[in-house]
Amino acid sequence: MTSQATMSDMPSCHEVIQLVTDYLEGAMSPDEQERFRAHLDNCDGCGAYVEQIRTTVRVMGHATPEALSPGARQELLAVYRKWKAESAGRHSGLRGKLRKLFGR
Amino acid sequence: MAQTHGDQLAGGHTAPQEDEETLVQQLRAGEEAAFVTLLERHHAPLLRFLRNYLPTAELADDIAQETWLAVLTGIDRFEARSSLRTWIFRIGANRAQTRMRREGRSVSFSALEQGSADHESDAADIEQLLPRGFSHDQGRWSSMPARWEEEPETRLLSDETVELVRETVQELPPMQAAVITLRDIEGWTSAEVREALDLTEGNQRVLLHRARMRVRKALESHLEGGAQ
Ligand SMILES: [Zn+2]
Repeated sequence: MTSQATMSDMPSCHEVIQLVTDYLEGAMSPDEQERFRAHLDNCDGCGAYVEQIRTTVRVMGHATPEALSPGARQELLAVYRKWKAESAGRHSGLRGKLRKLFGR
Repeated sequence: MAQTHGDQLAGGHTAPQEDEETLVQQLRAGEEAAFVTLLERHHAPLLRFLRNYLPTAELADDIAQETWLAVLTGIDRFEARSSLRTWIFRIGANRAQTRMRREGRSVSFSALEQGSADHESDAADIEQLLPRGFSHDQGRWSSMPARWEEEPETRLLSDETVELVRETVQELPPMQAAVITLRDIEGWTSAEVREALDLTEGNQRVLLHRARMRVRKALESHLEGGAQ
């Protein structure tokens, strides 16, 4: 650890733990970011911790989204086909009325 | 099929604006394949999202179906002011709220209520979620946290580890689960998540933070063993 004078400008370890998401999300002012980085430069524990969070996010990215179940697929396709048939019906119904109205 | 496989390899981490535009046009032209693509991408996360809020799985299924029907009937009016996927989720959230209100129950998607509800339980958890080796009383590291980034890929990304992550997410409070699923698993941007779930920037970040803390803790026990 470095001297008290430089450390006093920096967030504490506890603050680093709580602010890690603000840091990774780029939600800090340039000044805050600078002080956060300075802490990491001087504290191996917090450095390793931030890497743990980065690794967590990376592992999450490999939890591939759930697949569409065959049952849901069938059911929703039926919804789609019914909707399409009905909307086609509505359109042709309208066309039919227009035809009657305008004699063609 | 090759298309679907490619998407899965990318882990859904692409939000190509052009790709969505094409899908919207195809959907308007009545192309069933475009609808199937949307279902493959968004139905499972949408359903999970709805199940977190609604009292029964049947009701969630029902609202999901209603949502897709609303997407079909509304696609001509979709103006691409938001991305297609955020629009779909917003429809789902609105339909769920409407249904619950009609049945005389209230369900809140509002960030404020969710935030404060989560807050109370979280205060007690904060210490528990601190990383191993960090002394809360002394406010410093009594031992160095493990260097996970040096773990072999085969261990970090094993089926077992990934399954553990998925299970942990499912046990999170609903709004945390929704945010971390869309951000970190589905790869949405924070702007999209805010819009889909009607969250402020600050609330989205707080929910993401809490969710990541819990997933990190679960990974810690898994990678480093259960004992403290
Ligand atoms: Zn530190």
